Amino acid sequence: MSAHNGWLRANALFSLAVVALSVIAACASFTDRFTQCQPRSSIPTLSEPKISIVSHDKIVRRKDGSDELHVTLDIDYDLSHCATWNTRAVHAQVTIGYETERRLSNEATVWDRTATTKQDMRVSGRFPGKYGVRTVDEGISGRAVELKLRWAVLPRSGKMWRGVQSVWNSTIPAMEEENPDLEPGQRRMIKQTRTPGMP
Amino acid sequence: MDFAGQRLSERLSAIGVGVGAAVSFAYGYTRGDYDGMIRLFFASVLVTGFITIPAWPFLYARNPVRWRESKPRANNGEKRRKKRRG
Repeated sequence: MSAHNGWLRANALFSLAVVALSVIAACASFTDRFTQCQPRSSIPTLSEPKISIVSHDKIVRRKDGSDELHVTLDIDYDLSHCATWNTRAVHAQVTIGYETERRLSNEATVWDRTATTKQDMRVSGRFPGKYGVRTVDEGISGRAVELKLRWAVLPRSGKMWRGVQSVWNSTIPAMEEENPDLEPGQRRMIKQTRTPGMP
Repeated sequence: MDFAGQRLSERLSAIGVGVGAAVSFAYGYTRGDYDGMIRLFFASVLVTGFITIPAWPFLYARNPVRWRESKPRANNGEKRRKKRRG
């Protein structure tokens, strides 16, 4: 057994400091429980977030029978109050969900954003979809779809908090009849079809 | 560093880290500053280490062990060698 020296004291201090750091990190994570995260609108007079499909930019039926859909969204939400002192970032995504004969739930992300500042957690405007929707083997045209806002609060330490809220329901326009000028099996919608009632 | 000094050093390190953790957490929670909490905690650990790791004589050498006086070794070595031979 070696004699008592400074290295022993330094080792003991370092070990104690690591334990104390883990304790205060756990306490910081525990304080997140006192914050209730519910998305709001960036407009003060409105209470609920508002997300809708403004236009269906592109609907194409591929040769394998699947559909590809691209949309433009009107997005308005405010997640800034979900951020606490223990928050590193807030991730929000807009998903399109629909039901088919084979599967009860099909969901795809069409837009997302990761915000690290409270200003970036307030979004309002019209955005083209970042990602297209490609169905697996059944089409999406003519089906009812549901838009959902999903969010995740990424902490600096501790548990990650998630949430989801349904924000809009609509129907994807049906495709045109097959055009003999196009390749067999390929149908194309008129580009930038406007949703009734939208500017 | 004497034995009393070792005990004092260990206690001071525990107190320093504990108080530093509590103060830094309170600061971070009230100001909403997680990075500030971490920086303040590391600073408190550095200060505690500066106080407790070096063997400061004015702190940790105030109760030296009183060793007994050593007796002269005259003829003791010769008596032992004779005993072994015999």
